[in-house]
Amino acid sequence: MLKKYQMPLFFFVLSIIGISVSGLSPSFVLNETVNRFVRNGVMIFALIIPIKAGMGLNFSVTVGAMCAQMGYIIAIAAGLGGKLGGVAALSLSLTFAIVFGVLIGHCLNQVPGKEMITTMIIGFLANGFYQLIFLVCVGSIIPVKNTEILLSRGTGVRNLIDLEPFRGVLDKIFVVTLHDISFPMFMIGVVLFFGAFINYLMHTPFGKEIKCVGDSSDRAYMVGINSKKVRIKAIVLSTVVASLGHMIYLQNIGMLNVYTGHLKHEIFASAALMAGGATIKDATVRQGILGLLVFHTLFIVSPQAGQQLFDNPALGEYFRSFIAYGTIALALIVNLKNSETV
Amino acid sequence: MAYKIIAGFLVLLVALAFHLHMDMIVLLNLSFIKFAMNGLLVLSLIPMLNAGMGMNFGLPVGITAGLIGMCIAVNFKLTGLVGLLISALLGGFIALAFSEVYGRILIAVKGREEIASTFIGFSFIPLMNFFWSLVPFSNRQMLYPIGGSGLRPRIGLNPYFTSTLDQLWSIKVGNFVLPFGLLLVYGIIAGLIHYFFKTTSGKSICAVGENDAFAKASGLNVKKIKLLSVRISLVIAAVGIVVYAQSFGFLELYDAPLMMAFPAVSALLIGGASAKKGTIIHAIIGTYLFQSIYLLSVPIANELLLPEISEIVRNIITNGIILYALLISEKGGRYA
Amino acid sequence: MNKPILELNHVGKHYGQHEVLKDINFSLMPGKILGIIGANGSGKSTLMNIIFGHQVIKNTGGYTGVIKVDGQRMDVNYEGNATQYGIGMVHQEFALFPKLTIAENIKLGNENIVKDFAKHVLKDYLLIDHKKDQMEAQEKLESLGLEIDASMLVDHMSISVKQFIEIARELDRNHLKLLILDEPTAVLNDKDSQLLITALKKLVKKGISVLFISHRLEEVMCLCDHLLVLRDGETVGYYENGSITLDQLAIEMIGEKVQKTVSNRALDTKEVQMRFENFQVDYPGEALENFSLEIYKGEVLGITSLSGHGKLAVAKGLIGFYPTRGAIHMNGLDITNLTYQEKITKGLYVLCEDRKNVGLLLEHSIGENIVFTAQQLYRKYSKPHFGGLMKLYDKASADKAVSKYCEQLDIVCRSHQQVVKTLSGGNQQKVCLARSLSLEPDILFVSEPTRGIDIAAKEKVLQSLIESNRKDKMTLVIASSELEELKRLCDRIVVLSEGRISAILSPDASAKEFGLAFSKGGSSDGL
Repeated sequence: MLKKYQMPLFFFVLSIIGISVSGLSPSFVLNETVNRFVRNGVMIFALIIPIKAGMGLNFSVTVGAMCAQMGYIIAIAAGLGGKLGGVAALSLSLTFAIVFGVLIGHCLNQVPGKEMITTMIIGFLANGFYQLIFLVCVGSIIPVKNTEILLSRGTGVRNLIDLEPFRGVLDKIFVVTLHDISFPMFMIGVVLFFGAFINYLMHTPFGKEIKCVGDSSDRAYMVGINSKKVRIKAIVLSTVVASLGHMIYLQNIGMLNVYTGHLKHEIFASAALMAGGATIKDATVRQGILGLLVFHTLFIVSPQAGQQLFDNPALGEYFRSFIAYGTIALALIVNLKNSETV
Repeated sequence: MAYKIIAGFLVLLVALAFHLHMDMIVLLNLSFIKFAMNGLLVLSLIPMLNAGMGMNFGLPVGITAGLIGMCIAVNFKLTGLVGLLISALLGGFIALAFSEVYGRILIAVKGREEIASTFIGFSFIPLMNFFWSLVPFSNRQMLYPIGGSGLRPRIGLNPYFTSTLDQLWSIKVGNFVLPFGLLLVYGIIAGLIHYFFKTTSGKSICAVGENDAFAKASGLNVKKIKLLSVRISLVIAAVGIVVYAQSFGFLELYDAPLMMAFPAVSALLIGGASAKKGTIIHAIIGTYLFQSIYLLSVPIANELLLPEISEIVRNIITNGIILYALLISEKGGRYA
Repeated sequence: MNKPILELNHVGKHYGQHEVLKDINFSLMPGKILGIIGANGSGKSTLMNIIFGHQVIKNTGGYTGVIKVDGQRMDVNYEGNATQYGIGMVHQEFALFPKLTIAENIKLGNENIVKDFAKHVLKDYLLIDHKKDQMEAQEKLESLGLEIDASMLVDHMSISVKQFIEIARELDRNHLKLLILDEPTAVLNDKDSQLLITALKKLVKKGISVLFISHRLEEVMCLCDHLLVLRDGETVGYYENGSITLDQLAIEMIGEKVQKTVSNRALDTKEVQMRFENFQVDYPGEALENFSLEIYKGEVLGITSLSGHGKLAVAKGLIGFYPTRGAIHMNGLDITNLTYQEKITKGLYVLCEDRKNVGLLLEHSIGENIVFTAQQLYRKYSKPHFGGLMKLYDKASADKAVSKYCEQLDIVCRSHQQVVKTLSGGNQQKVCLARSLSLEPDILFVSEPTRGIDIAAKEKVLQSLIESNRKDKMTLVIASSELEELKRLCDRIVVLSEGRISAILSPDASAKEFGLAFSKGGSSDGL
């Protein structure tokens, strides 16, 4: 039992120490944690299905994030706003996510055993093409109706796009305030809904197939499961959930950092999931939720704690990065050890 | 395979450069410097690759060792060749120390070294950031101007050993300058690696990389041999960053080494290395092609008034080649 | 009821040039059990793979002939496996998922859905009715005579229970017509085997046919209605049960060939060179237990068994590929805890059967492969550089040695620089052998020295082995499934069954003795 909750417990203790050192008020920390929970919550669930399918951490969820950004940018570029714009952005990003998900799935079927490094490189490569399109092609090759989003030179999209028409539309629904802490109940519901959805899927025949393929694709074949197809479906689902998650994230932030907004989400989501006690071979929705809470609490307090302890907020930043990468590195090492692949 | 596409692209860029009336002699000069400057980092991947541990995406670990070496040399204001030599020596020793831990971890995660090394590299950077911020060096030129503690992210090497090797024994023919000393250092190290792979130890590394069951069935101590390859890789990487920094003119700390592994890996793959085996020739061809493309694309992109494009293209080439190599190397696997 | 469930007409299979299955014909009526018997390489597993539609068969060019299931001709190139034809298979290596419950395993691919909403479109994405699944699974298990809670994880189940779970899963498919069991009782103890046999007899009453593959002749005789004996890819006999005795069956399986033994001789002295005491190797699928044996100096010892019964485990255990227990003494030394490198320097060498994965560096040249081990361990064929700091390949001395071995073993190649992967199997095997001989071991273990190589190479390999034994006094231990070869070469032959020594026979022993030794059940404790 203790072993199961080792990681979240460790993070929890660190967070408590962080809070007390940083001198931040608990209500501020709690507010921020709730905010980050609804902002980053959905993305983490995108990681669970590929893990269950035995493909490890899907670092190409960044592609899903790019799809979401493309949806928003196209909607804004076409001058659409309000409900119509929202629907357009949503349907565009879903379409992109499905198409790219299928592509990534096919790639991963070529590299059994090396899925993680491949998804990571795919993420980097997609980022390159994304930049090429929005920095070079838009405005020059691709015409734009709403020229306000272009850089002054006429080619390339600006670094920052205001998502005014979409800002906080979902967050503002059904907010409950207790003392000085506000709970956006609708959004909390949305995050929990996604978690429940993943849980539900795992109890369908499809979910069972995922588990079987994750266990052994050879044995899955013997009982008549087409592992390749199942793996592609898993990645498509992951990419779609990631793009939905990023759409939610962006409407919460209200600003779109065109060239950096999608970066590092895969790292933070993976690290949070691992912090919740998941491994690269098995993860549950509960671990995701737990991880979200402890990981982001630590994230909120560490810069201030660094400032207080060392008089240097940068150290808190380094600590944050170290925790994010280090958690994944640790999970990888612990899991891959003693699991001879030959 | 890949190098043909890249070479074709390079020819295209050269043609473009001619068309835009660029000074080809200057570019040629620079291409040699860029080649040797990055070359050692690429070479450093070879021993681990040949030992079957995959591409060393944890290159930042070795690089960091070299950076520490240089910091110590700069702290004591060592200049010129002496400074370089001491940096490389110290860096090498620190790399040896790092490789004891790094190597053992990678041996434990056999078969998944690449993803593990990537994240070890990634998490090592912020850990070292603590070190850079807190280490009590005294040379004012290395420290943050305000506050006076913690190393700067970018330390100018001008007073110490900027271009020491670039200018060593350089040969001038008209406008053309051949950085003979720099190329000589690269040549010696490349030659040593080549020689090493002819020795029995070198051959044992290749055997482990090709088939570790065979190596075991021949009575070899596979773990020891893998550790040896990690040691060599890390030491070369440490020396490599010293050579890099003297050409670059700056000592870049903090997050600078974070993504340095990827272009190096890509260069080796462009030269024709597979995901399982690489030679000195692969490294030489690959580094030259990769660096020349980058070199040419910068002024061309500026001419086209789209300066970002060179960085983007470099990014796409880097990751495109790595992805291509991954997809090709695993063909015939379980799902093929 | 007169239509056969399964009908094979002129079924054959080639792997490249090699013909592994020739003209197999039989038909199986509903409610009947057909037992298939054969030694190694008889083609049983290939036949099973063909009937079940295994990937391996499709990837290697399919098969010839016609298979009809329930009168309907089977499409040669269909997707997936034969479950869609109503054929179920219980795999030797268990196609079960340990992290799922028993019920989940049994209902895999055949789940009940809670609500039938848009069932045809969304079937895979609707909630599973776990309760109903559990109930049905429980029923299936009970019908097999197994009292066990279906909600437990498969992970913790014993091997025999796993077997039943797998049978229950196949049964659960409503249209099951034929059940294939591949060596089902090899992993069971006597009591569980009886349980299984009872369950199978019950099944047959429902009209399901069974293909039963086993090496245990007694069980086959007690269970099956018909018996098909395969040898070297051909049908050698098809019998009604009762029309043949156990002894006859044993002879049929092995084949009564008259074979001259080249080395029938008495050893001058019986000096023990190597001794195994309760040696045990945890080699999954080929485990060895309770192996106690004395090997005499200068003898040629054969080790044989059916595949999966342990003959390859001795060699693998000596190298250290798998965990071992027990003690080993060699030349009076206790070598139990030595590393393999130390064992080699004490005069032992092991040549594994797996040429491509263990025996060779396929990307390296012939020369490098031959001298590699001697060079690494003894610093032979190398010259010192920098005052001995570095050892460099000494081409001159290596070339000389390589030439010697190439000549001695007739290695056909363009040059010594030729890459090994371009050689034929026979020449590759000779390269492996050359490397072993170049180490000049006192005792050499060879596994399957002639597997997959042509006749000429076979003779050369065997001849060289014997030569080294006679001339250089090298003790030789050959693990092989080729009984004929062992009979020709060996002074003694150890027969293993189910991982234990079942007999130590003289090469002149009769086919019946060998046949019975091979198929001895698991309850015996060896000799």
